[in-house]
Amino acid sequence: MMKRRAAGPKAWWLATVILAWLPGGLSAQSRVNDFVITAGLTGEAWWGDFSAITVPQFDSTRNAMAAVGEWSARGIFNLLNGSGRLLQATLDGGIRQSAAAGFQLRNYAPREQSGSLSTKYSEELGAGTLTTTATARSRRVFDHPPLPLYKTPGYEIYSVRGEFVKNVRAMTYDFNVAGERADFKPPPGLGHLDHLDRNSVVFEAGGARLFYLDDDREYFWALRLSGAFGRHSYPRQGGEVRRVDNAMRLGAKFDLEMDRLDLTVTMAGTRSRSTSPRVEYNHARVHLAAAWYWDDTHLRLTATLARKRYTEPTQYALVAGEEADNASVLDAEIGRTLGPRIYGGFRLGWRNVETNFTGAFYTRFGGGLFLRVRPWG
Amino acid sequence: MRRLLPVVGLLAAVLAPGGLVAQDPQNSILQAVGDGQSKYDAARAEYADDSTAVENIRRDWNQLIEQRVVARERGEDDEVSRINGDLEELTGRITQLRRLRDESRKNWIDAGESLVDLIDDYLGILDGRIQASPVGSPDDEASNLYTQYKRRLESLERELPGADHGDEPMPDVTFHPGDSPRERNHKLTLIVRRIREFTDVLADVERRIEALQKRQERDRRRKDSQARAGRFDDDQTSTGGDRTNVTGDAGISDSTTVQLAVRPLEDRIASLLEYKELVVKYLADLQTKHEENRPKGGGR
Repeated sequence: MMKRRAAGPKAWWLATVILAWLPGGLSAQSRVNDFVITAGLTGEAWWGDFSAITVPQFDSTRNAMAAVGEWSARGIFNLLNGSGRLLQATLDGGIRQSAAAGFQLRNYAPREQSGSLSTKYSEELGAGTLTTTATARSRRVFDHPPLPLYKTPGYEIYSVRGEFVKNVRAMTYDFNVAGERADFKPPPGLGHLDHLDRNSVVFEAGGARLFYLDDDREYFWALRLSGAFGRHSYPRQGGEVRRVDNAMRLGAKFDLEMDRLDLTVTMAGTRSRSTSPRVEYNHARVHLAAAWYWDDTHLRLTATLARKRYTEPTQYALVAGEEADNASVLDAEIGRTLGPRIYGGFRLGWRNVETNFTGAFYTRFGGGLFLRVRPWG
Repeated sequence: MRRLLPVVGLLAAVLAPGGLVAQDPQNSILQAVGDGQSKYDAARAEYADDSTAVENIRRDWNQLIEQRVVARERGEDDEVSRINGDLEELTGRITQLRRLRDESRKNWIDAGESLVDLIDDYLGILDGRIQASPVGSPDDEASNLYTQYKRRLESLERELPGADHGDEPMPDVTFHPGDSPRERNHKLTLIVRRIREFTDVLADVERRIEALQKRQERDRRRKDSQARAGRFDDDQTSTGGDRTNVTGDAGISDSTTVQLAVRPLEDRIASLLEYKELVVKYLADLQTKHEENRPKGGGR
């Protein structure tokens, strides 16, 4: 059964209310923690024979090109800040328009719209800091293109999170509980995307240790270990037995912050078991982010490696939304301050995503320019 | 139902506010004066405690400044850095304690003014009693009480601080009219030394603010890149694993966005700016004092 389509991203209604309520509006600089407008222009090449349930359009091409323009804005507003309490709203919205070529059927012009509103309330209590966050996020994709030009389908995601953090000298202990509801928004006639709808609850606990590298206590390295349990239910998947996944995750994160270098390495292993045996798997991910800074220039490299293995090796099925088994992502960005509040740079990105059992894959390679402007501060 | 009526009546009588029972206005106001006095004493004691805390921290601050002078003269850079960190921390605490002290001072004044009003009302009642007493048979009790509370009122008005409340940001060198030329000279030397030291502290604070602001800029660039990746789901690898973004950046960083035990940069910059303001004010005060007390026609 098709669901009624939402009239529009609810997040923006909330955003309007927040902005209207904000005393002094954007002109009150002390309340604007950060505000940045970004514009970008990119050229992309896509190739491969990957197929995904979430991309129902088909085309026989194996190669596609796209010119992509994007505009986005992000604002962080302090609605209350003082006496150990912080109420902060973050608004983020963007539009990305692509002009694709190389398809057999027609030239697609996919447009992605994304918006999110997040409100965070944090209070220092005697025993630690309590933070609650509520987030509404919306994504829309118009004129969704066939593969190999891969675009995640549109959705609305609502999440709430409570976090308690306690610092004991250089140690930080954290406890989190979060709930999330993901409601995918299929275009007319593609109701099966509703199968991706998901409700999740995640409990997590972690501990981090900080080591300073200098007497001024400016530079440090830190290690955080965490464990989490997540219960993900898919109300539209499964027949008599609804698909419910129980996932255990162990993670580690290494942070290094030095005079001219930032380095973060994240590793996570997930053991996912389900009421539907065909979607039981183990998953591992390693992510690295390194940035070098000179006076007005920075070079940033990020790399992600993800691997998934099903517990039943003979399984030949695509899992909606999780069709790939292996992913490798590499991005590089070099940026420079162009003026008092203007920042620009060049970005290159490569990604390869594939399945184990068919060898199907898609690869994206792209590069382009970006410009960021901070009108205030 | 009828059986319940006496019970309800009894309960109503027990729970009824005191207003239902006729009270002697004099006892009532005397009771209020007693309560007001208790509140006043508590508020005054709290202010005294908070003032002591501010004084103590100011003393610690001054000691650190002296230690910094010694460490700088000995060329102990590590010690100077450590003291700088301690001074920065103390600045935050000074500001916090001053706020508390100002708040308790306000509470003290409020409690004092309420008590003045109450005593005034009581004096009015006593005055009425004295006026009403027959000629030749004065109400001695009322007269004595009047004198007693009148004195209390006067002492209370003397105790209460005036509206103006300015204090030096830090311990200061004070000149007295009876200072000998040698004492004045010594104090001027001390002021010049402090001006030199605080100019050095100011330069150091400005350098640290600049360094932190650069790091804030770095932090923003990093967040810009992360936000861009997340905005259009470019950080999603469609392999599964961590399916939610409930704990932060989806896909790439899993649940590792929890803040470490590092003070947020914004807070540190705000604290240093406050510190800078304090140092600038102190420097200006020292310079003014130096100008005012410098021997006319040149000298130190």
